[in-house]
Amino acid sequence: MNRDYRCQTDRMSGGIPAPRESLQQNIERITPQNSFNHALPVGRGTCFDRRGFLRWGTLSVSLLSVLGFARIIQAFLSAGREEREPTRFMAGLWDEFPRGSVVRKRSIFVVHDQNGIYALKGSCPHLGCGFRWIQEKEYFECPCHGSRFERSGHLISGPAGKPLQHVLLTKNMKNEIIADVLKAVPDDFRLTQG
Amino acid sequence: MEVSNIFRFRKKDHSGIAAFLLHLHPPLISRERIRLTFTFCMGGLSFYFFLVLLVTGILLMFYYRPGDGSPYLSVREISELVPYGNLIRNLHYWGGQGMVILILFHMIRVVLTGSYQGARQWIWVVGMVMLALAVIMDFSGYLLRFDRETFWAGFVALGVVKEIPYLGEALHRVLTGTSTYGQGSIQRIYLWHCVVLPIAVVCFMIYHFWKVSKLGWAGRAL
Repeated sequence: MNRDYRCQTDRMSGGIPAPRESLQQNIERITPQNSFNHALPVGRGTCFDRRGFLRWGTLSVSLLSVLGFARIIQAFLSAGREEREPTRFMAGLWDEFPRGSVVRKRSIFVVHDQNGIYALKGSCPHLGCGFRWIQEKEYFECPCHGSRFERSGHLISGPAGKPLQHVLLTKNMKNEIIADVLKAVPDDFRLTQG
Repeated sequence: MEVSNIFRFRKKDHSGIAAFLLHLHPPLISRERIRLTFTFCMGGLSFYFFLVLLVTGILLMFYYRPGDGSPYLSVREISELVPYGNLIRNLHYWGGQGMVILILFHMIRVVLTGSYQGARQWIWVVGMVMLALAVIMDFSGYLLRFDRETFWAGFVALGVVKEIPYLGEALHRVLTGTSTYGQGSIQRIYLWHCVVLPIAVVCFMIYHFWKVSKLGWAGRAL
């Protein structure tokens, strides 16, 4: 049987049958049931017969579904377990915070004033950006929208509507200062050396 | 029919792995063999379900934690936090249930057409072993969820194993690694479910498919 179902042969050869074809195959090729091929636009591209159409159709549909499933697998596998910032940690020893200093420790600022040591949460109450202590100007400034806070955490200016949150500091048996970010304390909270 | 012309490979004597592969994937398939009502395709469909279970199972292994943390918590993470996690988990769950049901229907078909007889008897025996393995895998997967319901299911089931005379205690120890069923047993259940039993099933499957293909389906040569 003739297994070459591609229909471009007579176009490529200008209607002259390819030499490999027998007379019988040539007659089969120009019989009316094949004539729909001639209704297709004439050009240099491939024209599909039924088998070719089904083959390419199946192939492209499977390729699409494989791509779709690959996307699902990619999304599924992208949910890793991030290492979170600890909410309770050792901020340091007393000597690391000399009087008048403002020191960043992980997600908090540790401040030492004349009454003792306290800690401020290091994320802006406006939209949660991390901010900096500007030593020359003596205030905290948020890089996102420019909110400013005093050393004590009081609001100076900016879109933030609240002062900075004070968080709990404790000392353990080894005199290490432990910060607990989740525990809020009032503004007058101070940790003293005694 | 000029068989020797069609099966071109007949001219060379194929043996070993080549003959095996040609049985699994022959170049020609009879029209009769692919007719749907011939076998209702249920063996093939259960194999397809097995492939789905393999893919989704490997995906679930990326997140499941059988260890000392809570296995149930990692299951909750998969279905509630991981993107498409619920889809993958449900595909795995329903694929497992579907595979057991399909295998049962497949075996009913084999009984009704009498295809378990004669030279095919070992296909049938291996098939029964695979049914048992499929049920065990289904149940052990259920145990991996390790919520309150499945904890008691496992406690009862492995308690029954323990009651087998003479062998029970030792078998329980081998299966779970613990003397009483608990969270410590999940590590072992996990490995049985994900590694040992699937490999065993694949080995049996290879024999099953090869023999089916070699003997022809339901008394007819391919």
